[in-house]
Amino acid sequence: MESRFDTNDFERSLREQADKFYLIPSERVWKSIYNDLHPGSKWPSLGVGIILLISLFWIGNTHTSTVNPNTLRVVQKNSASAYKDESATAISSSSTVHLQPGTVQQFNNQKIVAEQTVSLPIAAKILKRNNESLPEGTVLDAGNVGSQNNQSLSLQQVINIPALSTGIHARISPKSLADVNKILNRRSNPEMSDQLQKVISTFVSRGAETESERFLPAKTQVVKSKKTKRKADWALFVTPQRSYVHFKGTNLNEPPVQSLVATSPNTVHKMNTTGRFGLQAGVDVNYKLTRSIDFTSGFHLSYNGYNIIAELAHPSLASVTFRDSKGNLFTKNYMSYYGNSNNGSLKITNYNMQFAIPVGLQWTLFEEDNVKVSVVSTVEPYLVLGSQAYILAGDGKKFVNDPDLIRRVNLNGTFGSVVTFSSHKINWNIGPSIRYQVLSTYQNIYPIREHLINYGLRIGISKPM
Amino acid sequence: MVKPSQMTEDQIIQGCRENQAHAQEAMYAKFSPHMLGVCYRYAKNKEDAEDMLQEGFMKVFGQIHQFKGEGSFEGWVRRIMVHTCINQLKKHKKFNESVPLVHASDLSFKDYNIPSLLQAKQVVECIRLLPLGYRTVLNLYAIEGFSHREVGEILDIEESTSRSQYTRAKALLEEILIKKKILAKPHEKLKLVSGEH
Repeated sequence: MESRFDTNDFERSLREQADKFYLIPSERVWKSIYNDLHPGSKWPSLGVGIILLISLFWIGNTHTSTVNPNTLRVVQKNSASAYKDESATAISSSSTVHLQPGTVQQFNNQKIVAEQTVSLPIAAKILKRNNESLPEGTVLDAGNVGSQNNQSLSLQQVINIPALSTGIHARISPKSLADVNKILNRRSNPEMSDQLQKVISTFVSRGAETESERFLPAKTQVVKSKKTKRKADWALFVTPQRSYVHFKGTNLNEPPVQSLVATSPNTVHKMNTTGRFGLQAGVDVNYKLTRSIDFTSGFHLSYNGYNIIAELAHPSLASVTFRDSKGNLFTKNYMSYYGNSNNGSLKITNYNMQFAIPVGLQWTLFEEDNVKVSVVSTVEPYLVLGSQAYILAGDGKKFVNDPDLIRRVNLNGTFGSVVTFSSHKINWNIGPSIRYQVLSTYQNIYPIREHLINYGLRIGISKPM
Repeated sequence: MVKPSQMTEDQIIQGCRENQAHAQEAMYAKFSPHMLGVCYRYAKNKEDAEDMLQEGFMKVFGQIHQFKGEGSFEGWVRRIMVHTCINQLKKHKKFNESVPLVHASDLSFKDYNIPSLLQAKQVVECIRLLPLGYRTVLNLYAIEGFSHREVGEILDIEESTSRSQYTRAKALLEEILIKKKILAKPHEKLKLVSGEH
């Protein structure tokens, strides 16, 4: 290019050089153009997202019991031993019936109308008014009572047994129970006292656990149903974390212009990095597979990265050599504004923002009343939403920024433990977690492999679905 | 259906007029690398250049019915790209501002060997080192081939301003190119010549 200082030559030469120059645009440009030109094509991806969300909620809801917590479970103990042992809790599922106000239900194979209820305070007043009690251990033979007075029962004879006010537990024999049921079935009998009907119905149909148990303590237990063990729950969490990086591989030297020139051996250049705080947040859904193993998935958003010690430098060209999939070397040039320095005063940041869909298992190691300890392991395919990528130039002296080099879809592996504390309505979760980036941050053409490691403390709340 | 990579220019143009996605993709694949090179000379960085490229292609696809087939299609696309770049720059920059004269000798570059294969890239990078006003005038006059009068109209500046800015831009660029060893140093003092002949 010597002697190009004639104006025409200079401009012609400049034009030739400029016309030779081209750059490959990143994929997002065409995607944006395509989406603008054909907006309808956005819908499939949106649709898939909506379907995924609906599926998650459907899984959660369909595997959750529909039992109304106010429903009573009436359990009849058939065995004689159960009758004798008041504390026995053996349950015969065949004798379980549900009672709900306003519906006709089965009670010990006999129909009763549960809407015949009065409020518990009224029942208590009635009992109090007939303030009589039986000695502890008294067995009431309701069959005998029922046969007395030509099937007319007195209030005291039937319901004065447990004596709510005294707390004395009386026992009713199986035969007595059958007779009580008969009485219930004959509720239309004009001879049967209205008060009696009301009180009996009250104890049967209301969820007053204590009173019901006292009324029918041994033969028939009326217990308030516990919430069925939920199959799925969701969790909201946030994980403050600190990110570190480690590298593998060496920089490639520039390919020789002439093939006969020997390539010098590749060199290892070091750069100083420091950890950086990041954050992960998201929603998880845990679905119970077995008693101790849950399947877990959800949506996570995270920001992580690390700092590089650098120094400001005059803008200059810097090149990085890459190797394509066929093994051929090629070089890209960049403008560099930062130099590599061990004791530089400047920190430049490499970061990425990720959207991940984790898939994994949670294994419960220990579970007591209000505390549960479990370990979680997941794999997280993720999409990089935004990033900054300073890499070391081939000479090891400068940093260049090339976000296009970032692998857009990558994979994390996570492992952690969670301690869950149950409170009244929600559960609190806390525990350490480690996240390792399985594939290199950069595409395979870049010879240096970069892997991020995040150490964090997961804090969250969870609730059954 | 013809594959996008096998489509002729006429087929691409016709397909784009009919809003066919594969024709649009073929056109983008064919012209986008060079057009991004054009945008890059005007832009602050590659991200801005890609934004300009995107906007430019949207105009190309939107206005393709106006292409009458007279002259080169690539030239037509390129003109749209250049005008898109200028319009983008005008949003943030007034080109009639007086630009301080910067001497290349004031700039400090580290010398190092540059493979000759990368010369085109380096020349463009050197152009990008110029102040925005200089760079834009130089791009329009020396590379796009507009006259100083046209440059003045495009940038809303006086023709004389375009001339003087080009003269300074050229001197500065020559000095940078010499400093970067892309251009050999002349034995005699540089003769600075004003733009149009």
